[in-house]
Amino acid sequence: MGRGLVALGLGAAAVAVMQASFNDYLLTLASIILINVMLTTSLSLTNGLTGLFSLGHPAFMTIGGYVAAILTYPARRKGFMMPELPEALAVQQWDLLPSLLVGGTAAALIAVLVGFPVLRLRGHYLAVATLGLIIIVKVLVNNMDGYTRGGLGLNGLPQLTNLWWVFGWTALSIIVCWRIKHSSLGRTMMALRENYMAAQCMGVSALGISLIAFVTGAFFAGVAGGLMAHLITVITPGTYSVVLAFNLVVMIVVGGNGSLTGAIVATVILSIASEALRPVEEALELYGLSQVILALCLILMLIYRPGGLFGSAEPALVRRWFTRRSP
Amino acid sequence: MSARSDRVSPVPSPVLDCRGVSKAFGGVQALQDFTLRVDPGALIGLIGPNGAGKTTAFNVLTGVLRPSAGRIFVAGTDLTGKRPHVFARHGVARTFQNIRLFPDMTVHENVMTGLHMRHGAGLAATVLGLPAFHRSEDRIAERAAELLGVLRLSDLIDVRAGDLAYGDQRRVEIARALATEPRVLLLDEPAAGLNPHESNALIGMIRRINGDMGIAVVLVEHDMRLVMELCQRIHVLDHGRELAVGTPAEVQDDPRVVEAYLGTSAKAAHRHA
Ligand SMILES: Nc1ncnc2c1ncn2[C@@H]1O[C@H](COP(=O)(O)OP(=O)(O)O)[C@@H](O)[C@H]1O
Ligand SMILES: [Mg+2]
Repeated sequence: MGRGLVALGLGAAAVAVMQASFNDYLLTLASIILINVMLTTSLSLTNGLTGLFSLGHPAFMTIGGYVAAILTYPARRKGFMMPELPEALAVQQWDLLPSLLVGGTAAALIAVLVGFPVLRLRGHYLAVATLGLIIIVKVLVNNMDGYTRGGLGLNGLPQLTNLWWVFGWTALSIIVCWRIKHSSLGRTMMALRENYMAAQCMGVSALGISLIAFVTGAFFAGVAGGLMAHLITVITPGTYSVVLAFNLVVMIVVGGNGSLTGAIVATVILSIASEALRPVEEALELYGLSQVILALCLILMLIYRPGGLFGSAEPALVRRWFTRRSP
Repeated sequence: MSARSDRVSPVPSPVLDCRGVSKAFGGVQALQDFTLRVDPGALIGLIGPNGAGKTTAFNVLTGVLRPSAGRIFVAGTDLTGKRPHVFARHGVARTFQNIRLFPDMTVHENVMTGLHMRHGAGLAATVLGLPAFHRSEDRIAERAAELLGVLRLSDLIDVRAGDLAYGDQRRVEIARALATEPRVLLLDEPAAGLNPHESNALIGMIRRINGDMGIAVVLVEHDMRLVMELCQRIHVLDHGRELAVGTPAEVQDDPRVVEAYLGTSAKAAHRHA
């Protein structure tokens, strides 16, 4: 873990430098990119390591985001914005950390409910079920307007998230995913991906192991939703949609199925690229250009380098740096 | 577990007890009223022409397929209808006719996967990096290396399974199955595609597994020399039904068995004509 602490220290130093020298726009951008990293690394547990195909992250972000937003919302404005909120909740005004934890836990609980029936089945059931979940969550949030203000969304959230918060959670997400990947548990996930039937015959509970991957990912997505809501200070039922799920999947595929390094590198590059294309889109009035380019990246990658940038393994350099255990 | 020690009967309960099991695929009766009893330490052959239902029998005996009728007991516990990992936990291990390794993992990792069930750490210990986690990882890595050593596969330990030569894949698959610490090992055509030198090595390997490790073995195999040499008792299947049971000598001389084999080759010859 000594090497890990060094990496963490370097990351923290970089954050300190950015915090001191970046303007608000760049700070927000850096935070969004790091949140994306948190999303792809946690999604790669299912979609990369276990060989499942989940599109559920936007739904879990919406759940985690709304739960956290309701908990942190200034109590004096709650009566007006969320008239149906029970009295006990209406008087509360929580700090960010417990709100994020409750939001992440709520997302994880929903993941258990969805995953339990669906993860018994092999195939595209999870993709279809999580796609459905995105829509169900959106409809529910729209209709529970006494708590959520429906389609208007909740705005004016306290801006509690900063780069430090995002850095801490992203680091935690990477550490958790790294440890799971480089463990017996992670090997059983890979085994299910590599040969589903043989893995089960070796004593791997497909349901149990898939649930661990899916629910862990959902927890971090829920937290990411809360972080994002308190960064951009607004959340609506449509903020996190299928388009986001698509972008995350592309980043994971481009990075390499199951490679955390790949997911991180691809997420940073593709997030910066799509931000850089925004002024181009506006100048040329070609809205959606970055989506098209992202889709092209995906297709080219699948044709010329189907294993992604790094395949399923971490690059030797990264692996050696982190896995040597200090005595 | 306690039920077993309470037993007065001096006869040990069979590690695998399959009673009147049937399996149909649509209209095809792939397995009909199949009965097999495997005592601890036994070495049993299961033979029959192609399509006789041998692989189907293995699939039913490992929970990969649910039987349409009949019951399956593993070491005294009724596991009928349970999932494959439950069969593995109770001590049933297997290999596959069409090899099913984890190609993108090394030989060591393939074998370590088999050890997870009994020695792996849970999520909390893993994520928190608790001492229990490191102990479990060390134990798994050591045992896997040890097992590969016993099976004389140490040279291959860091090779990616997908890059192995065919014969080595078969042996590594056996090593991975043994990593689950089974009571009974089901081998589905382990000598298929091996050269005579390799199948001799395989005979030695099966003897060590059955003799030295004391693990019961059920062997599906077309190589009659191998079956006759190794097995104490042989079941013959044809069209999903049991045709004969007996010692290698009895089975070899059974006219029905001869006819089943000749019959299919005669039919095949007829088709080709
Ligand atoms: N999954 C399946 N679906 C449909 N038919 C099957 C399936 N598996 C096996 N069969 C049929 O069951 C019969 C027995 O097959 P199998 O058990 O593979 O025979 P063996 O291993 O003795 O060669 C064959 O007629 C085969 O076509
Ligand atoms: Mg077969």
